[in-house]
Amino acid sequence: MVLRRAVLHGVALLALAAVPLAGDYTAGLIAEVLVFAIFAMSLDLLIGYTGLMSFGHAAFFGLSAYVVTILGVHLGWSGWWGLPAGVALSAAAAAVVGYFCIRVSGIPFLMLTMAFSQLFYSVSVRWRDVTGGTDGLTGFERPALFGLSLDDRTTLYYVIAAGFALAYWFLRRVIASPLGAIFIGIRENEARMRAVGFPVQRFKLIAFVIGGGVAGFSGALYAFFNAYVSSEILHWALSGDAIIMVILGGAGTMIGPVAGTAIFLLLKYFVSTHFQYWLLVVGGIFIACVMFLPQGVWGLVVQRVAAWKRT
Amino acid sequence: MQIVAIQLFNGLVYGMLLFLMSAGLSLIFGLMNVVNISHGSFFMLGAFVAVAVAQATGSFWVALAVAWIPAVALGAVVERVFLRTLYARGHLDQVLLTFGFTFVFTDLVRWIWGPDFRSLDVPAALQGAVEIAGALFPIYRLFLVGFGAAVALGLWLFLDRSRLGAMVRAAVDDSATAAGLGINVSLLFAGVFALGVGLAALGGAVAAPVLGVYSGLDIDILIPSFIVVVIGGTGSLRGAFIASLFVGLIDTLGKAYFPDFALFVVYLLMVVMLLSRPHGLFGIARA
Repeated sequence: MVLRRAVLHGVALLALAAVPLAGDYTAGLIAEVLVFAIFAMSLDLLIGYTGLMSFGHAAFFGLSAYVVTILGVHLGWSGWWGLPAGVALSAAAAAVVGYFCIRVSGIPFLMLTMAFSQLFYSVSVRWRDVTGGTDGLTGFERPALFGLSLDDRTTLYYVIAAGFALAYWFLRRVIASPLGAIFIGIRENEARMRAVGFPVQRFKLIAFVIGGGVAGFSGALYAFFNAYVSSEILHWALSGDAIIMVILGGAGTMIGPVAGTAIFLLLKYFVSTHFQYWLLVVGGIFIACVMFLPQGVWGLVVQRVAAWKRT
Repeated sequence: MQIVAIQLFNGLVYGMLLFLMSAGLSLIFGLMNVVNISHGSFFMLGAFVAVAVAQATGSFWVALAVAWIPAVALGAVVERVFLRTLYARGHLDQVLLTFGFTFVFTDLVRWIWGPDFRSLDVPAALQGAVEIAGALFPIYRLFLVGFGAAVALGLWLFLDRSRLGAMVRAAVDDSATAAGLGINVSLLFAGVFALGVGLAALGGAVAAPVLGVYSGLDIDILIPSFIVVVIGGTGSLRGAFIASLFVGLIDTLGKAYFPDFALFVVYLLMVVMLLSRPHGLFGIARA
């Protein structure tokens, strides 16, 4: 079992490493999938593993992307300093927002996270001097790695792929740890966890901060990838996209959000080239998924494989 | 002094519009334990329908009279065909479903009416302003305050004085016991859902001359309504009404006197409420 898992991970890493062979266009597309997959995985830690229905996760993604870009454009900081600053600020913001939001649970929690994230969006729209508002902020210079500029598409791809592998490894470790077991316990039965003596609120906040920090990491990589940010990335729609990615792929699994992100983005590019109102299509698919495939695409695969093994 | 009076008045107007949104939101939440994320979409839909009907017929009143119909019909379909099938599952699946509909409605509205900003003219009978104690109050806004108050009164009479309203209240308190007493809770769900989104659409229609009509109106009205529901407490009409006026006033006064911090004022209010009374002004702690 352990051996097979190691082999699977090895194959996945090799496949990631081989992507640039497929050309710049494909590599760029997969790099985008990987950036948003980190974002979706970080949300899945909350939705899928801890049972926290966060509807404002874009706040932490966007905040970090802005921090990296603003530090770069206005202060001339290298992205390599911007990245940890972005992650730290996102985690700190998640701590503040989470501190208030975890006071309620279930649906009020959902409404509050959504409301708070909209605050971040409104600030980015209003604070034009710094954020560029809806026009966005251009002029970010991608940093270099060992003398290789990230302006080179292949280098950029490898940095993002390495970031993805790191985030995947980190979240896997968190979920496999005793801390992860507590998160899952809260998801399964919060009242019982409290009765057993766990300070549930504190662990919810920890999950929220970890989720926010990893979302910040993906936001920073997005700033590297795009070299341009606008208030769009703080908009509620992006939080919504991430929820669709998680649910479509399968909440509460590691692979699910990655698969969901790939499906979502490919669908977006494919449908939007043929049909202007692609949200209609995505919304319809999402509704069908919630009704008929609540475990998600990857969840279905896992179920089928388990059923096949039993026979 | 006049300026303060005008600002207070504008806050009252905005509060009444918020009430038309949050009354349905709060009722649906209280009864079905579902937050209808697409509630703002119905508000937007009502506004667009009102503009379209007003253009076709030339009459604001006809527009107002029919603007709620498509929303109620769509709401009934959403509840009967989609939401109902998920009642056996958790509430979050139902919330996700309404969330999926926001995407569908956003693009449907954009498809039918395009992305441009539209406006609805105030009807001739309500144009102009009246002077009260040296301050000018636009008649249409006075009408809005009266309209909101009338809807609030009607809803209160319905919930508090009618047999159907008593059934709704019973189901809000304890839907299982209500069902045991022979109340058709499932049908009640559909009725309240349709009523709630109909009110939202009506709100969108009367708000159109004040707030404008555009794609994106859904989220702009949804977020403050969420804050109202959090502050007022879920499932409480009284809470929704008081919190709506409160949020409307605070937001308007904040924008007038602290324009740089206006965004934060309402959130500050919400944070204070969360720290002191996490279940809202009139909310009941539920397991």
